[in-house]
Amino acid sequence: MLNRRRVLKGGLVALGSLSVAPPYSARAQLKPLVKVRYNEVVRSILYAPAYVAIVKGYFEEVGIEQTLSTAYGGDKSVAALLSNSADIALIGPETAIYVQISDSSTKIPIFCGLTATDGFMLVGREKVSKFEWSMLKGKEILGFRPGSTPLLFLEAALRKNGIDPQKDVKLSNNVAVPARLGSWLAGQNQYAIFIEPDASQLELDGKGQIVASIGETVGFADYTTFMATDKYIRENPQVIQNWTNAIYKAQKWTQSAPTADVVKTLAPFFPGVSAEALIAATNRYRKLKIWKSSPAIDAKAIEKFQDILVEGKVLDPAKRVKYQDLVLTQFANAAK
Amino acid sequence: MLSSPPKLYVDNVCMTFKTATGVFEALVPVTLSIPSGRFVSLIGPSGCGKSTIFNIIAGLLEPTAGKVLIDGVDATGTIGRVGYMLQKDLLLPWRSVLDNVILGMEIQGVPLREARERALSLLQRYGLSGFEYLYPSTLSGGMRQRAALLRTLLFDTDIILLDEPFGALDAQTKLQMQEWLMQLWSDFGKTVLFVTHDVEEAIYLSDEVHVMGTRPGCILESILIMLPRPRVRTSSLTPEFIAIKEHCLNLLTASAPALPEAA
Amino acid sequence: MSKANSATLASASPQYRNWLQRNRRDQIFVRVTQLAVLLVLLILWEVLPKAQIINPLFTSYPSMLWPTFLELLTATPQQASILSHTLSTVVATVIGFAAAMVLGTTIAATLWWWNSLYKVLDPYLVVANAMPKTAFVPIFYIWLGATLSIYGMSLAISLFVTILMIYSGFQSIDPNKIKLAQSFGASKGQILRKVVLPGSVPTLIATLKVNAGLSLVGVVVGEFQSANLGLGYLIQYGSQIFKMNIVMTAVTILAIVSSVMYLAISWLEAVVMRRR
Repeated sequence: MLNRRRVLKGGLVALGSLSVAPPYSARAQLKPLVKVRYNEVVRSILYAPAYVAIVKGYFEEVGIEQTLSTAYGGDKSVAALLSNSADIALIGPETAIYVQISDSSTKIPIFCGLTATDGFMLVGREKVSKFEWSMLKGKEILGFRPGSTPLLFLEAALRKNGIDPQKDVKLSNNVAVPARLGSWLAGQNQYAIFIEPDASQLELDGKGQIVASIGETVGFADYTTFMATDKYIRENPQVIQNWTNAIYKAQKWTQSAPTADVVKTLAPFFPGVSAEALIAATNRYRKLKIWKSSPAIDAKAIEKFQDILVEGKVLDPAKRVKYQDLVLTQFANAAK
Repeated sequence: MLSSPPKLYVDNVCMTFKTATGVFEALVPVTLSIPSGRFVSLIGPSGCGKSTIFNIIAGLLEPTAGKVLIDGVDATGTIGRVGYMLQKDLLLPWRSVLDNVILGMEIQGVPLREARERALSLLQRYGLSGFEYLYPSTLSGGMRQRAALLRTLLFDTDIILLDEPFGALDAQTKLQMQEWLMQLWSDFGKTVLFVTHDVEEAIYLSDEVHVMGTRPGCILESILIMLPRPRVRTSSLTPEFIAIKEHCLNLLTASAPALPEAA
Repeated sequence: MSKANSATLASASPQYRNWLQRNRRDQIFVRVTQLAVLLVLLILWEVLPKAQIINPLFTSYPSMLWPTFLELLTATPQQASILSHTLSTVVATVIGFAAAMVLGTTIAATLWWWNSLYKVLDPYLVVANAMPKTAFVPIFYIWLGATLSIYGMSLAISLFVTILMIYSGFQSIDPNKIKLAQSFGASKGQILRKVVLPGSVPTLIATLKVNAGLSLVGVVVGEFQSANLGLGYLIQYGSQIFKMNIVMTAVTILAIVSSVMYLAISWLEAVVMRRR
């Protein structure tokens, strides 16, 4: 009689413990992380929210495991996408436009924005108390590679301030990108465009003064965007949406977090850059609103971007691309 | 004859070569006295120092001991006193025959026009007319040796050293060249020192033959050739000739393991 | 071939005539096959991208070469015609390898003259030759500025090879020829002028062939980095704005330029070697 009770008690306890055990059905829903090969066109503070998303694990939260690689060139990024060695790339929209108008049957539409405009700063050698664009007349400016967006935006900024880039200034566009900083430090040219954190570092070292922001002068025209092949988007819409969500979360955090926290998150991606430069750069980009607060890209920005390409004679006006063909808005709109 | 010094006097010249692996005695004291206008041959096996003696006489090599006297004057180590013809014709392939034969004169600073004039008459007299403006690659072996010899002659020294000039020619051409050389020698009266492996050639051409031994190089015996001049081909069949030849061959066989390729 | 042969053909035996005909047929066969290979390549290059088997963004088409060339005659970046770009590249190349030849020969002659100098410098020269000069492109820009850096590249890339090749050529002159000149009492200078240099002409021509190719490479690579004029610049620019037709046109012109240079040097070689 005692034995039967013990068995019954034991059985009841066993049954009871079962109810407290972790829900197996819920665990079965935790799928393995989706691997995404992510390619960025260069390493730059301009892309801060992307690094934030990586460091803070926002991608893992949405089930994405990303591997980051840096291409050091728009054409190389595009090649990676088209040859299927990268899934998602962060590149300037001009590449998507060129591919759109080409004979390639694969296109690379844009689905998520990151930077609102150009992040280059105009740096001058001599200190001025108040900078006027007319001071540039007759001077030599260190530009960027011909056909590149930094140069096209610089020329647009000059034109906007009544300066003819071909006649009123002398642009040095033939310096190799890795040699630009050295060239400036060696005393060549009176003005130059530099991206952060180089611009801030130069100012901190007393080697130049930031006199203007190209992006601020030109206005909002999305400068760098996330894109993927139309095939990949068709086959992995959930991944694209998750990616956009993760970026959105990072964008919101970057907008409001204290500068010190942002700098701490970025530091591992920029070894060799001083903390002061990172701080100055972060404050500047936030003030200029270059880091977008949402992934949505609007049509006006794309049209302004194409205007700049046409003015710079790299895009035939007859070949302008329609906003709805270039940008897939559904993912940004559904982002949360 | 005894009152004036010999044209060329090699006085107890020896040569020792120092190399990283050891000391090599090439020549023990060698003495040669050669009167003006004589045709003298040196024969001997390979390595007996014939070329070394020539280099010393030409001034290209300083002897370890001894002197070289030309006309009684010490000329040891001086270059440009003798004409030196090496075995290979060494005609410069980028120059015409004419420009090749004037090379010696050109280096000595003789004006080009004068040099070419002198050369042209010589070329025409001695069988190279028609070839003056051709390039060495178009010439046969015999013609090239003629050009090289004329080049040596045009250098205009009294003494001429000929280092196996006919060694690379076929038998027929060699005989023709010997006659040609005899003609040249009798026309110009130079003092000739002639090196060869060919015993018969040496006897046929020379007034005197020095037989050399090897290791170390030395003169074994000097033989005067009293055959009448001008020499004729058939003289090589006379008993005197054959006796001298036999004597030389004996000397050579005794002194060296392998016989030189005699005629 | 034809004139001499038609004369002999009339009096030739039937076997000889047969042989001649077969010879000519073989030559024609070789030529036809060469053309066929070229044609097949061009057809593949045209058809595969059109059929989207290869992405046309990466290759462009041969049918685009001529239209692009015409377009570039009047409208390239820098407002210069493509002919100006070509001229810029060619001039830089020619100046580079000419300077390398002159400077290299002078240095080689100096090393020949003072053998002790050669012994001291030899390892440095070997290392300098082995180092890839293309790695110096950004450095040359900082040292020499935009245009000069391209000439600098063009010279530097050929110079050390030239010194080594020509010095080696000097050393391989038949020493007996030098001995001959010495026996005539020639000074070192006379030996250099009359024997060594003329005797080195085949080496000089071989070096020239190597240099022309190297200098072209040096110039184009230099232009990738630091030019605003030239074929290398066009290739870089075209690739930047995804106009592969510009790239292919520039590359085709480069191929033509290097072929012409090589043919010119071969002609020079034939002229010079005619007598030897």
